[in-house]
Amino acid sequence: MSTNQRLYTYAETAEEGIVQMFKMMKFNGETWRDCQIKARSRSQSHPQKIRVLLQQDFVWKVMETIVDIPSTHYIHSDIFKISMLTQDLLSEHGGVSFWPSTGSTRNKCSV
Amino acid sequence: MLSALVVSLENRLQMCFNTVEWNAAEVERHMQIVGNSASNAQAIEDSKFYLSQCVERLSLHPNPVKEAINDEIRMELDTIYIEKLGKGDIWKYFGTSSSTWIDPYEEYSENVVSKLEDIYSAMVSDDRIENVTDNVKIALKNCASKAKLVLKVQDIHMYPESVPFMSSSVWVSLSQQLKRIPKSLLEVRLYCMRPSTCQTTDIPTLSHSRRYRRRCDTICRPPHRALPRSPFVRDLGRPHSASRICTIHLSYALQISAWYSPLVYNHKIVGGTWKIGSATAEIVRALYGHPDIKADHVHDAFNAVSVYPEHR
Repeated sequence: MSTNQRLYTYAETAEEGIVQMFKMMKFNGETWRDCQIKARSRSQSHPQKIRVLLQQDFVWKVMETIVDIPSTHYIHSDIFKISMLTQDLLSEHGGVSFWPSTGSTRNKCSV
Repeated sequence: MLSALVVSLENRLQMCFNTVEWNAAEVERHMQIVGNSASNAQAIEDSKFYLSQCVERLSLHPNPVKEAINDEIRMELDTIYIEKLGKGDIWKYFGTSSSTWIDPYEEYSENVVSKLEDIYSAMVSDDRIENVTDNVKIALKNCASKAKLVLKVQDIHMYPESVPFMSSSVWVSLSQQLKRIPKSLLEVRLYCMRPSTCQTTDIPTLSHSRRYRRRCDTICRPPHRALPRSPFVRDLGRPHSASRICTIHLSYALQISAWYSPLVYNHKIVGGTWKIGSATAEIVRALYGHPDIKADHVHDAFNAVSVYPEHR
């Protein structure tokens, strides 16, 4: 068994990882300010991308919109790939004008 | 921008699923009065007031019933969006008032309303409605009428018009649409942020031009390729004349200003009364509106792209 152990280890995809981590943090009452990966688990893929995404306030808002709902429509669709999320949300058009357009008072926009 | 749009469009969908007291017949009657051009002006004003109050009640309601928007409804919304608005070139006019967008949008809203009614009546007929909680029952009962009002609503302050409900294909369209912004910003950075490169004495070195050539090639895909090539990629053996370089810069600056104009045209204040000025006015707006150019350097950048060397 010990030699074959690799066959039985469960590898978590990055998409599962981000949903899992977001829901966990939400359950614990944490927000984007508290996001950090303490110990890297072996089964997790792309922990850095997940961390960077969840540290953005606007990504947090989007996650509340598309993950924190009873339906799994968005999670199972094509948009919910870790590479797509990173490309779309962390570029200039993703979050640059989120706070100005929602009327929140904040000095710096997060690009 | 994408995240803000996603949040607001999803909120728009959730507005239709809540436990607000709702008189569907009354709303329908008022909507018919507004839509009918033969009814008198006072009646139209009253109905508009009534409808705007309804929308306000919907939008201010704090607890949407998220459980009511099940996978079936979302999938149907997605399919209708792809059928009506997501195909061909229609999605490129997202949310504009051109007839290319408005006509399919009307069909879209009709289809959505009838589909929501169908889903509810199907749930009633095969008794699935008995398995859900009371809140979900109330939310599903009136969702079609609410959706009809929300999709048709116009002329209400700070409220988006003629945009579809959120679904995953809407995300794809939006992100495709908004990808033009970083591309244009990169172009602005390349050609406008360096006013000094417009002078013939200050030609970038070959190593510079190699790096820029690669970036220019990635940006200047067709149809931009029809424009003259940038001075950065020119052959160093045969220098262009000063005015030639300025002309090239001007044409690129025109191209660059395109990132800014959709924002201008879509703004309500500008609307129909304001006439768009010359192409130079576009450049000025693009330069002055650009976040990366320091306030002190805006004037230099403007001079570099608009004034010919002999006039300087």
